[in-house]
Order: sequence, then structure tokens, then C-alpha cells
Amino acid sequence: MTPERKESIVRNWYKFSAGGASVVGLIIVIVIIILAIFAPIIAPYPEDAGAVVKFSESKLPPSSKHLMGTDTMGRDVFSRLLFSLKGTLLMGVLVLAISVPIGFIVGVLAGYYRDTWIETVLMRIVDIFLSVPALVLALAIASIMEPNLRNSMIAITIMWWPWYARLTFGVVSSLRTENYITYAELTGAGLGHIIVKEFLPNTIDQILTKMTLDIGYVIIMGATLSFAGLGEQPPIPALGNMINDGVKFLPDMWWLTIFPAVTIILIVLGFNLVGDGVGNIFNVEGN
Amino acid sequence: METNNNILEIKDLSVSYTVANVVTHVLEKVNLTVPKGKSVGLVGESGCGKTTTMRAILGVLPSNANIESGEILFNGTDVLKMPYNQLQEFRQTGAGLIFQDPSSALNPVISIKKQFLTSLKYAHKDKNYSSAQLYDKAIEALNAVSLADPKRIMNSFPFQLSGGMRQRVCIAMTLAGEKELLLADEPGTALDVTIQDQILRLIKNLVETLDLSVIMVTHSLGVIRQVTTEVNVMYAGSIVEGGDTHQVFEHPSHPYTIALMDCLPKLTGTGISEGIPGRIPDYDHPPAGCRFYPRCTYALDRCKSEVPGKTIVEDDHWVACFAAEEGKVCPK
Repeated sequence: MTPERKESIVRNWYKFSAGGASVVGLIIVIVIIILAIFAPIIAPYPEDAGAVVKFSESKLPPSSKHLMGTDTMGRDVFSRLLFSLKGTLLMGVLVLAISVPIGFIVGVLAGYYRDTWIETVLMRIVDIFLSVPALVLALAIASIMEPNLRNSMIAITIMWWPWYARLTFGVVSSLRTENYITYAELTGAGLGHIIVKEFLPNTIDQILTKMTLDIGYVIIMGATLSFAGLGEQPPIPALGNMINDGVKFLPDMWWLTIFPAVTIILIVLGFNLVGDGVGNIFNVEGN
Repeated sequence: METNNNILEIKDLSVSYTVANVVTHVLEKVNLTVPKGKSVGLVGESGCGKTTTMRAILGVLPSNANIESGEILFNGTDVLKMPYNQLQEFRQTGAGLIFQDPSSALNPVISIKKQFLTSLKYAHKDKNYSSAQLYDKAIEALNAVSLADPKRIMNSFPFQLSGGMRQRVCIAMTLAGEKELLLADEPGTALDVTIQDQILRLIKNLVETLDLSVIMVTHSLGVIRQVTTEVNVMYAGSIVEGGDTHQVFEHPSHPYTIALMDCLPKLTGTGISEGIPGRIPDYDHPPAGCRFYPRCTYALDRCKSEVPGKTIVEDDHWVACFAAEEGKVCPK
């Protein structure tokens, strides 16, 4: 590692960790990732992630044997919760991994060809997507497909990319008139060079910041779909359908609802704190 | 064929801008010829269309500009009709532009080295230079514009350099491209006179050793006289006088050229000149006849409605002025 590289890592860590909250967020995120990966090892009752029925142990409150109690079928809530983390994180990461590049390309083309028909066509399509409330659109898309995790991800991706298209469009259309873009054109650089070497490095800070903040929102959206029965189907555990199962038994069996809900809150909080820290590195205002 | 001697020929180029649905006619039938291996000056007030002409040549006009008519022939091929690939080729190896404001011409998040090498890679792509050779070329170019410690500059980012340094980096970048045609849009206006002088010498040198052609755009008549062999005087979007630099300076024949020369502060210190009364006309509604008519002290009646044609003054010197045609313009 070169000294400059080391220095820049130290500097970025300093900016990231200023205030301490982002470090707490990072720890939460790392712990959740570890729990998600090692769920089969950590979970006390790994078999409970499936369709298991143990009536003898059903509806038990939290105890040393069942940390978060058991559900109506006698399955350990803690074990099910650990198994649901993987799908939850996958949701956040995959949705963004697909929607951000699509949004970036649409936005950068519309911004670069500003004031031409290309911008009009692309941005009006974006506007159509943005004009429908996000959750309604996702529910509509998810409901016409077979309900499972993959299809709920597709539904969220379809409604998520326009936000990145608009963000990129805003940044690029103001960079468009910068002299260095003209200069790149003058040296004979092609469209690919201009997008990858000129626009991307000047847009990446905004995109990364929004991405880290967005993971949390995508996860909430995914949980909402799953709560509505459009995500992962029982008996496979997901935070949303676990809450949905437990709602019927509130307030008596509070542990069925509270623990998954708190988990969602923790995940979103963790990612948002990390997002703020990333924003501090790039000096971008978080939302 | 005549075109063989001319690297660039602009014929009747008219460009207008659309601003808030109002069409402003900026360039009106501009004709400009650049012979191979010569440097040609283009001089005029701010806002007379010099930069628009330069941008039109390279096809980087702002999106609200419309080219209404005319041709820009580069080695006989019309730049305006080039397909994208050919245009790219032309920009890579054919012509390079030194920006008027090069301080913002560098991408702020990419190191100078990367930007420099990329631009050289395009400019010299048919010569198969290794990246070490390109690097040496870059260092040499930075040395030539008298930047101290070029290696440190190569590893810097644009914001770590001062405005003047950035400008010199841009000039070095364009000059190191060694393109056939160099468009210098007021090179060195923000630099101090010693470095400006050095850069002008450098450009002059390149023209002589590499047989490059240059269009030198400037408001400075001194620069024109020092560097160019031919000059074109531009007023409000059209060229009003042109020809051999020496002849034009000896016998300026257009009232505007004469007035422009009078504006030069003299070292003898005879006080500030009166300047040219009035200002450049409104491009929304330019005068129907000669565009200089409202400010001209020699104005005739026909100037109001008719556009003057070319009148030959000397063998290599022409002027577009009715008063000059009738012999009524006499320089002081």
C-alpha cells in the first residue's frame, strides 16, 4: 500500500467516524451481516426455519431456552429471525445493485443529451414512474406476479431506478456545460470515455451516499411487501411475514411482533448511520 | 486546386443562437482561410463572435446554437457534414483548441497525469507511442510552458494548482498534441506578460518546426502583429477587413480597424484615447446594412441598407466598406 493510499484511508476514516454515530451504525451492520451469514450455526433450532410443528412448545414467552419466545406452531422466534436476515439484506443489496446502474445510465444519457429528444423521452418515462406513489406501484407490480422473494425484488427495482436516473440527471446536466466535458469532446473522446471517465467520478459521491441511505428504505419496502403477503411465502421466514403472523396475537403474545419489528428498525438505523458517515466522507448532505 | 494549400476554409458561415425563443444572429457570412503552415489572426471586440467561430470549427457549439448556412472545409472535407466517427478522428488528430478559460477545463477529480496521458493517447494514436514515451512528451511540454517541477504537477489534482498553472497545463496539453491545426482562443490572457510572451514564442516555434497552422484569436493587436502572417478583423459577427498582417497594419482601411488601433494605449503616454463610441449592436435586430454603421464616423447613406462587399486595397489586403471603396477613409 502506498503512503498516499494509506493517508487517504486514514483521512476518510476520520471523516466517517466524526461524531461516533456512524461507527455505531457500522458495528450494527457488521453484526447483522455476520448473523445473517452464520445463521445455520448460531441458530439454536435451525430446523425451525422450515415447516415444523411442535405443539408442546407453542406460544412460549421469551426465556433462557427460547430467547425470543416461540410462535403458534412452537417454532423458536430467534432462530427464524436469524434465517430471515439473509433475505432481508439480499433484498437491499440486489435491488440497489440492479437499479443503480440502470438509473445511472438513463440519467447520464438524458443529462448528456439535454435539450434533445433523448432527454425528453427518457425523463418523461422516469416522470411516469415517479408520479405513482412508490409503495402503490410496488404493490401493483408484485401482485400481478407470483409472490416470492425474487419477484418482490423485481417489483422494488422497477420502482427504485427512476430515483437514481433523476439524481444522475441533475448532476450530469449541470456538469454538461463544464469546460472539461467540452475539452474531453475536443480531444476526441468517445461517449463511453465521457460517461465512465468524466461523469462517473463526478457523480459517484452522490450516488454512493444515496445508496447507503437507500438500503434501509429498500429493506422497509421489502418488509412491507412481505407483510402484505407479496414477499417470501411461509413457512420460509421473512421479517415482514413474521410480523404479519404475530399481529393477530397482539398484545398477548407481543414477542411475535416486537422482535422482528425491532430488528427492522435496527437494520435501517444501522444503514442510515453508515450512510451519514459516507456522506461526510464526500461532503454530501444526507436526507 | 486551391484547397490543397489551405488547411481550413470557412465559407459563408452563419450561426445564430436561440435564447428564450428569440433568434440572435451572431455570425453573419464569415469567410476565413488558413493556409497550411501559416498563423492567421482573428481580432475583434469582446462578443463579436470570435469564440463562436472557434467552437463552430470543432463542432462544440452550445446546444442552443444553430448553424444556418456555410461550410467549414478542413483539408477539403466539410466538418459540419462529417459523420460522428470522422468528426472524432478530426478532433483527435486534426485540430486542437486552447480554451479562453482553461482553468475549468480540467476534470477536478482526476489527476493531471491521467488527463494529460489520455489526451496525448488520442492525439498520437497512430504513432504507437508507449506510455513512457507519452509521459516524457508530457513532461517536456510542461517544461516548455515553464512550469517548475513538472513531475509533481503530473501527480497533482487540478485544485492543487493555481489558476495560471492550470492554464499552462491546458496549453501544454494542447500543444503536446501536435495537431495539424491549432486554435488558440486568447492564449495566456490571464498570464503575466513574460510567460505570455514565452507561450507565443512557443506557438510560433511550433508553427515553424512542425509546420502547424494556427488561428490566433485575441483582442491584442500587439500579439497579432508579433505572431501572425495574416489577420482578419471581426466586427459583430462578420469579418470586415483582412489580409497580410503587415499591409493591414500599415494601411488599415476599415473605419473599425482604424478606431481599434487608435484605442491602443501608447507607451508615449499621450493620454487615453477616445475609444469607439457606442457598443456592439443588438444581435436580435442587427442593422440591415453594414453592422458597424451606427458607430461609424465615415458612414454614408447606403451603409444603412446595403451590406458592403469586398474591396481590394492592396494585392493581399481587402476591406468590406463603402466609404473605403470610395476612397473616403483616410487613417490619421
